[in-house]
Amino acid sequence: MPATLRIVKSVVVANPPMGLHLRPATAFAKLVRGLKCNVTLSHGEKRADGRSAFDLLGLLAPPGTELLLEIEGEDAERAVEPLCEILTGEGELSDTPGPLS
Amino acid sequence: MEIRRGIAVSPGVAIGPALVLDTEGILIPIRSVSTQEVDGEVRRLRAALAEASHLAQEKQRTLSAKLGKEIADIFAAHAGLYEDPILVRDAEALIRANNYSAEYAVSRAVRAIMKRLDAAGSSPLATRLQADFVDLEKQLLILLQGASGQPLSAITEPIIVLAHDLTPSETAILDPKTVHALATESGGATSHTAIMAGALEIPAVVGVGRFLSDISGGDTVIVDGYQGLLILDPDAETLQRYMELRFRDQTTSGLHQVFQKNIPAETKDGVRLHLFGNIEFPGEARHCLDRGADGVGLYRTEFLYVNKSVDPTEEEHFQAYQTVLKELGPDRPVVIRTLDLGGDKFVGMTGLTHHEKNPFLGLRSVRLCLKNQPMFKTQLRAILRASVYGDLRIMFPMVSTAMELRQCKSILREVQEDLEEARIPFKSDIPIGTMIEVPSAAIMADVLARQVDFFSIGTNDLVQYTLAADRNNETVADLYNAADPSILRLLQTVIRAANTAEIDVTICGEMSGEPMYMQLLLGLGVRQFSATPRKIPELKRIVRQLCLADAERVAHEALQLETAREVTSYLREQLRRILPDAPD
Amino acid sequence: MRLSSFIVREAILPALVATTRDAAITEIIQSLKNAGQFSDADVSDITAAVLRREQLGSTGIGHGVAIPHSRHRDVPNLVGTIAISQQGLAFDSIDGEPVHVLFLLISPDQQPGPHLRALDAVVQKTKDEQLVSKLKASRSVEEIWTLLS
Repeated sequence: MPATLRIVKSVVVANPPMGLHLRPATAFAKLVRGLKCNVTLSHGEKRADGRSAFDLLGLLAPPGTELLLEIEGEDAERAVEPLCEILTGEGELSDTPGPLS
Repeated sequence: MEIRRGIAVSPGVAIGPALVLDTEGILIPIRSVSTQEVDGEVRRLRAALAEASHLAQEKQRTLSAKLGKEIADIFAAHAGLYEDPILVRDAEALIRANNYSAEYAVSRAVRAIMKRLDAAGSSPLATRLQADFVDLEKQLLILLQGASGQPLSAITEPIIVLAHDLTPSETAILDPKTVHALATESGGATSHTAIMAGALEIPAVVGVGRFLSDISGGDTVIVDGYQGLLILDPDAETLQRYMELRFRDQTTSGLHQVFQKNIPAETKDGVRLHLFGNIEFPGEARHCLDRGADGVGLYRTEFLYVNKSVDPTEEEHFQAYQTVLKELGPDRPVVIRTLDLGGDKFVGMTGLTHHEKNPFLGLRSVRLCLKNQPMFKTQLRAILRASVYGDLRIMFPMVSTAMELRQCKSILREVQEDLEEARIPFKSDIPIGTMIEVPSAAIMADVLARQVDFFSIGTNDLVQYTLAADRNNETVADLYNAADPSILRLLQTVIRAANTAEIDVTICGEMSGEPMYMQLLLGLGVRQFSATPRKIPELKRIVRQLCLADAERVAHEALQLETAREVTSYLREQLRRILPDAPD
Repeated sequence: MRLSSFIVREAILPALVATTRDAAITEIIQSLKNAGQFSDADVSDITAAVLRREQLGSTGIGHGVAIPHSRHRDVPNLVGTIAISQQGLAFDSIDGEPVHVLFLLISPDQQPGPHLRALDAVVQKTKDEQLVSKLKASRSVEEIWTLLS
């Protein structure tokens, strides 16, 4: 049995045109909240708790931003791939709620 | 404490809880609750968050079928935000630590997050997120308050309204008893908010720039309508200072207006002066009477054009004028100034003016009226019809040549003939005056004086045109100064011409509301002043301390000086001699 | 705000003994203390604060009325009272006239709102010229109280 697993990885945000906006941030946070691990994303000095979309949004990461992903805990290994996928997503056709919102 | 600078558009000081208004209704959280209620507030908070999340998920489901998954997913994202552990933690902590209401805590927590985004500078992402967070806050507040919050007309406690901008329908229902001041992010000196605040006589600052994300409903704010300041979260010392300023304001304007109302504006040596009010809206006629004004010295009529896409009808003009005349009664003159559109006033609102490179030197005011005679005649007909209801006088603005004045008078005669033909009653001996606000008119005052019954000197434009300086352009604003010796000389020329021709001369620009200039103007020969109604009690107080002989000496001395600075310091010193407590 | 909600009836003084501004303020604050509004320990502090406020600018608002006031950290609630000086006090008023009617207000440090509203209420009341002359002519607590409520 390995002790707590810790993975550190650099990820470049995609999700054009806005980058780490509402949808990726909330999806990311939601995923983290379902996992047994602590996740931190940081951008230079700024660090965000992976469980909070608000915190993640505070990073203000447009496409092309290089973020440092740190995962620590039981689920670390299986968390890496889906979390990275969210950050490097293809973006959306339209990120605007439209007139009915 | 944070001090934000904007444009002062209506004087006075107000201190009170903020009511933050947005375009879709108002959000007016109560700030704090008692300690016993804290647990209840936390429960309300949690319930609102759960409900908001639930509603967002519902929306996602129903919209998914209609608009596709892409768009509906936005609501899934919103639902996620309402469950956000940091939002929940921060808002709960605010309630428990400070006895904040759930509304106030939500507002503070969301705005704290927004402020963090703000600090990072502007980017498309930040702008988008700001909008999302504003929406999120709004959803939560609506759930917490039920329905859509309180309507503006239901406010009973004194508050200060803060908004990005106010719509005419919002300003229309503001009650000065509860709304003690206004501050807006946008707007300029001639914006709707500015005009309404002036008419309601509540302090207002506009054009402050972004501040709404830094404030929550219920926060104590100060609006300084003298200096154009909005002070957020004032410190104890500032609060104290402003409370005293407000007390002084309130008691000088409050008591004086009541007790001085019925005593005449007479100098110590028995010279009777006339103090008139400048008004914009018919409702302000009452303000003049409340202050014991001798009449309305300047009734601006452009308000009829505010927010109109078509010209006002003759009937609309007539109703407004008739209201004012009836209010003032037969013994108090009402000087109606014909339309002074253009320049900075309501440009683009009427479609009357096309783009001009230099609108202040362009087709404005009486020039526009002479080019658009149907519009001009409509107003003149209404004025003439209203003349039977009181002591009405007509005044033409921005006249720059004797020729223009002749044209105005001949158009007026045509309208009179039309009315005679139609057997519509009007007074045939209405006094006709011209404003003197263009240097050419001031220089030719002796000629103009032979054509009219009175002059009214509009010092704001006279100063701007004489010194060729726009006071709203901060790089040259210091040149704009009514104390400039050139202005004093022009005033002397105009007043002499009027006195020689034995016609009345009134000062109606801002200069006449300035205590410092009273002695000078009296000494130069002015006997009539027209100022914003709320200045009248203060002006009367000063008048009653003046002596004509002293005033003439002051005028003589001031005319010898060479710079605006010398004139200002001399006049201040002279004012302090008669009023030791005069402010600088 | 109604005057009766903060004017302490028991502290009303229909005939001030004091003949100077400072003595009058001291006398009124003492009267509020006797009515149980302040503790002994606070009296000198509060008096000093009100007098300091007068130094900044007279609260004599003209026509025989003055509204001396201050805020104080140890006062739990907004309180005030009214006193009449039959002979009139030199108060350095805005119109130079002696003061006959004094409204004194003390409010907690933390709440600008009630303080401002109480001042508004007093100023509003004093705009009634007839009421002011009736107050000047009052000789009893009963008379004054009736005029205020």
